[in-house]
Amino acid sequence: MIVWLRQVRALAALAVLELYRRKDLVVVLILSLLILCPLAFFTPFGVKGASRYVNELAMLPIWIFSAVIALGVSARLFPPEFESRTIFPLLAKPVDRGTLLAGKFLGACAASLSALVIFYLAYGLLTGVRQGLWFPVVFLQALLLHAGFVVVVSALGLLGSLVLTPSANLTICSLVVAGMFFYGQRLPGLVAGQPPPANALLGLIHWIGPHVEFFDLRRRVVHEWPPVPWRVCLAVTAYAAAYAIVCLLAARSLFIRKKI
Amino acid sequence: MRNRWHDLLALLPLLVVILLARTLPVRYAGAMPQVPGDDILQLVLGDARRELGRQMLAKADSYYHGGMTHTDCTGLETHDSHADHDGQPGHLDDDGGAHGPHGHAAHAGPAGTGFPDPWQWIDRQVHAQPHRHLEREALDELLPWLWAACRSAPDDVQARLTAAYVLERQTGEPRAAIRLLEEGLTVVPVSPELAFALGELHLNKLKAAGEAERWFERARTNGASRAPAGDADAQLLEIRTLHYLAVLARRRNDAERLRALVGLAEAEHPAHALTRAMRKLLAEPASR
Repeated sequence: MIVWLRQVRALAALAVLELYRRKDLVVVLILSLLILCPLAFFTPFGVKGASRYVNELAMLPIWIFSAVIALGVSARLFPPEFESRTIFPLLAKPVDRGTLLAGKFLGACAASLSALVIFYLAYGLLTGVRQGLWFPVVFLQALLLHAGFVVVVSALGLLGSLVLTPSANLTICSLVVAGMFFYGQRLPGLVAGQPPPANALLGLIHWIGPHVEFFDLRRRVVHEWPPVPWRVCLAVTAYAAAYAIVCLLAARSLFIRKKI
Repeated sequence: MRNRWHDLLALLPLLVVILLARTLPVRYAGAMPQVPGDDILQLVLGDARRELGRQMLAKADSYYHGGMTHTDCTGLETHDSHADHDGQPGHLDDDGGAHGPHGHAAHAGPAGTGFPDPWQWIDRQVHAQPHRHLEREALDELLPWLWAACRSAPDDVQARLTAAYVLERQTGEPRAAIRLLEEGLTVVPVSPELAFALGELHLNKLKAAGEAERWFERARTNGASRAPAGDADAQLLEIRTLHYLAVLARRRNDAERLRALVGLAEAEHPAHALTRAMRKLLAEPASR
């Protein structure tokens, strides 16, 4: 077990190092600062005091970049290994395919989550300095659920990387995530309003699609709504964990059968 | 030597380009695709800026409702409190805080499957919230979006009216709101709404009766063609304008003018409450 954990940790560390080596995060942070700094000093009609628009505009890049980073990192875990054939020495060592998959996935999650924590720290500092609101409960819940989003997206990206080419994987995963993010909430209404067989198809999407919209607490954070009940947070976190496990099991099944 | 000739030859098309750039706008002064004097937003977005302006105004409205949009509330038509929520400036005049015990969760659409749907339960718990309005002191939060709406679509009368209302209410200083409305009238000179709002601000906030009367007259002139065409908003604006003008005439003890205004109101809106109020003004004895 200890050996297995060491192997997983070593594999995960590689993914984290890869993210920071490529400086993606630095670019994203600089871009966000370039967008937000002028906005933070903007006084519409010469009136100071508005802050929610900055919070909302800060949350938008956090969501976009976290999705991009999670998908980018997870989708790049296996294809380069296959192309450069470095997968062979990896598997030649006493690392089985399941361990490799788990290590890669945990690495993708750790890398994406570390970026997410940096984003939220920056956001927390921004709202703290501007509004005097230092890390309220709803903010911590938003971070927790956003972490769930990152885990689900990483699992989807990893699964896709084993069955699709990298560009197809990125495209399809982006479409699925964006589609569910914007329309997931409306699916039940669409199911009710469509004739067969469209309603059956939409119903299937509703039941098995990744409901990433569950993780979006931006409105609550931006508009200072009260926190979500913790049992709901727990349910959403459990949903994320269950969805990621299903994706990982499917990925494991595919990876074990895959001819390299 | 040969390269130098090539360089000189390259100058020829450059000269042609410069010549065309100088002559085309003069030759086709009225037919150029871009209108001189328009700002960068107009050049980049064209007519899309109007849509952008509408979206910014909708964003301000959603901020007023604590982040909720009308599409979030699928059962809006059954929601009595929304009856007057059509983006009117008066929309912001409601009392602050939440509307009542009912929440948006109650409006979530059924899946139509008849058995419990855990995904819908989670979604309702995460996203559902009681219907709420911003507290008065937090109305500043609307200003960035209203500013953006006015900048995106300078001819959007509703955006200017709402922005002027919030601006005056938040700062307590009507000058900025007046500037905003006057800017609007330079873009839409025929708007009766902008002129009426200017009249109200001058009368109620600056106590400048003369200036207010000038704006009310302009509002009446601007709305003259819309009210007889059956535009209900314009008709309401017309009778309100006539009432203000009657009050101002009464203050000046100008009985002849007052009689003329009452006559106009009786001709156009005989049964309206404001017409009755104007008749009362006429019946009152002249003040000192």
